[in-house]
Amino acid sequence: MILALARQLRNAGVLGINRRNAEFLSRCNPRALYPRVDDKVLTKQLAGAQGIPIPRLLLVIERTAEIRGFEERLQGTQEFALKPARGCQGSGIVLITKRVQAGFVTTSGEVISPEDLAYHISSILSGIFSLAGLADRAILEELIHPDPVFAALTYRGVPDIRIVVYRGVPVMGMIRLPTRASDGKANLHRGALGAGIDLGRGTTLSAVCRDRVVTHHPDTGAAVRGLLVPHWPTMLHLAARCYELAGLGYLGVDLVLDEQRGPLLLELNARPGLAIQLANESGLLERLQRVDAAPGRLFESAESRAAWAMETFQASQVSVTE
Amino acid sequence: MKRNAAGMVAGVLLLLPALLVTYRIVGLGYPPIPTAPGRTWEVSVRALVRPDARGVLAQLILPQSRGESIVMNEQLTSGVLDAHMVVSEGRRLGVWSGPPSEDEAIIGYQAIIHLPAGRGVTPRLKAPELQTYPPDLPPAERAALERLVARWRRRPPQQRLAAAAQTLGGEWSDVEAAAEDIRQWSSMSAERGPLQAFLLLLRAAELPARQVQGLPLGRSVRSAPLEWVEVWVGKEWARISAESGLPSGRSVQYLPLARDGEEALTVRQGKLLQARWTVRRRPVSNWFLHYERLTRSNRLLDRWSLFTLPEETREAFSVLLLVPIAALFTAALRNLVGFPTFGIFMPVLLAISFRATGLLYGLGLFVGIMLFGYLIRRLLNHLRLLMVPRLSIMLTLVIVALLYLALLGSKLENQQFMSTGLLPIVILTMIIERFYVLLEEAGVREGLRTVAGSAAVSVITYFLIHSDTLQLTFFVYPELLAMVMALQVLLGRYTGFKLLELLRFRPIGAPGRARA
Repeated sequence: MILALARQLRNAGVLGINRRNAEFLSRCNPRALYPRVDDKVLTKQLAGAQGIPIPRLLLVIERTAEIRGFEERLQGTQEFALKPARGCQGSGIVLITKRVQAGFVTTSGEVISPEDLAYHISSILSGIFSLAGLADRAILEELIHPDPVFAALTYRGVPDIRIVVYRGVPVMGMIRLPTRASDGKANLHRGALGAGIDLGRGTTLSAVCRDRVVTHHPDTGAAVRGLLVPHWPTMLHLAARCYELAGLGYLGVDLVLDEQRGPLLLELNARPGLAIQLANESGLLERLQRVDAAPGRLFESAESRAAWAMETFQASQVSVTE
Repeated sequence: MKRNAAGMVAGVLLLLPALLVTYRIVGLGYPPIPTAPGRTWEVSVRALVRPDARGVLAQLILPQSRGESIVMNEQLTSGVLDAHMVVSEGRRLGVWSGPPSEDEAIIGYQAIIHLPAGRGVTPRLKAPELQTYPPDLPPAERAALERLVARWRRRPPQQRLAAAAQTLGGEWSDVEAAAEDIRQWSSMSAERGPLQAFLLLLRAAELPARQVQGLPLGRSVRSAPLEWVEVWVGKEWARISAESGLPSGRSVQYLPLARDGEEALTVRQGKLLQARWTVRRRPVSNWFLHYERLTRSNRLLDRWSLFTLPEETREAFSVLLLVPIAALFTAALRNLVGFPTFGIFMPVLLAISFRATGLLYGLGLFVGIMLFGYLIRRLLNHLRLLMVPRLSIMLTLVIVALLYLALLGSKLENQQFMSTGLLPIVILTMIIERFYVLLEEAGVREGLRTVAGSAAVSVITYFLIHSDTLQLTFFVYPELLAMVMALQVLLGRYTGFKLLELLRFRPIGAPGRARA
């Protein structure tokens, strides 16, 4: 039974975590380059230098002593996103839409007193949310206003688009849609919905929620399949360019679609998860092997890589009508 | 390439200890299974001696450790007498002496004898030299003896022995000997005793033989040691009962004490009133046996054996040697199964600490501390403290809680409540913090799942590292650690699916969906 299941998964080209670590992360991702993706401040600097659009950085708080004056330093800025620079899986993020007399109003309408926010910042600095538990920095960046195209599939929060990029070639994508269970966060671990994306067309495929295949959004009730992601070719191109930015051969690129600014690079991930396979009902390994077998001239530019990916990983008509 | 290199490293790590273990077993006579019971007997001798005008002087030939048979825990006891152990002419002697007295004196000796399970590896023996005829033997008698054995002198040793042994029962059927010669032999037997006559016959038949006094190792109480004759039959000594002339079975092992006509117990001054020779089973721990065996040896590997460490260090290492197995096991659970645990080796630390607390109480304590810590963490959250000071406060409160538990235990006279010494409290405090964050962020289900995973791994690890069989095996053959390492290397190169991944990705692999 077990062996048969393992064979089925192997035949379907599914990538397991052991193989991801041993054959892809350890081979393609030099440890020395991890800070480029683990530290959002550094990522933003590198992206800015490459002309990749990002949410603007408003403020970096490095020391506890700096917390006291951060409100003044924000000047008139009303809305912002507060994040740990080295946070993982969306933990420690607070989104503020408005400043009122009593403090700060979050996207969910809750009012946070200045003291509470200061405590949260000091928690971030102490490294609670950071990957290795080391001391961290807090960043305040421009708040994203998600494109309303996803409104029917979003419970509060901001949906984001994850694209796995192998040796600079986008191989698989999904859109992560916040749910009530995920508390408005676009994080699959917390119960957000992940919908696979047809790389060729930019339309959503099947979806997964808590490792189970679903067809409708649990909160809004809207059907997931068939939604066209705007600016899709641009997004694939952006994702492909991130390879030069990070230097990591196996990379997770997280993009958001801002109402006004269009696709923006939110963050990079050196250890992208494998749930994306469930969202696409398709194995990653098979695609990675196709990239390895591709002709060398493919890798010359980000344009050629993105174009090859659109052509190669277009979902077959059969599986769409199924 | 890397796969091959890892495979080779694993191969070498498997092969080297295999060779070393084989050498220890075949070359040095280690027990193949260190926990095989083997046989241990308690042998004791008690004699009552009445001093004469000169006092008391008595001598007992003591058993000797040879190869795998070892003598341990020897005790000489004496009431009023002086007792010494001396070595003389290659024999070990117990000597008791005392001044003249009206009172009867007691001579006592006790020892534990261990014989290897099964026959073990028999050492290759050198053929002994043929004994000489006693100088006082008249030439006529010698000639008669040689005529008696003339018929079977050329036969193989076993047959010669069988023919000679029959004569102890007075049977001469196999020999067409002259009646005169038989009569002469009968008178020799009457004069020197049947045993001596038998030995002379063996000499005439050119069979090396020796007379032995000792004890059969089986439950017995006797007033005198047993006598038997050992006859060299080519490659080994055959044992013949001195009374019946029958060969003794192999099922019983014998403990030789005195050879070549010597008495095991000799009273030179004083009168032996009575003696009691007792043999009985005496189970002892395998640890004790290995210790006794290895510390007596002066072979290089034995001198570097872990058993030569001081006792406390030995105890610590007997557990530490199994920690790599526990680590291997944890790695397997995480990489092959996909079990969630707090930290990588926390469950192992927890399992080691259960040694002091006991399993059930230790687990209860772990769960209790997690809950208590979680509540404290929730309360502390209102104070908005920085992380490290907050962790310190939690650590302090956890220790205070344990302290009160211990106090309560001492009032209730409950030992377990007080045995928290080895709990890795500092690490537990970190775990509480992670538990809290996990509960807040991933939900109660994930948090409890991880607690259950950690507890399960530590319970399994507990049974693993507290297995006496495993502890002893690794302590006797520490090179087995290399084999554990080989498995760790192989596990490190495992790139297949985890068991839980199979379930997780099952929808993708469903038949009909797989691409051709």
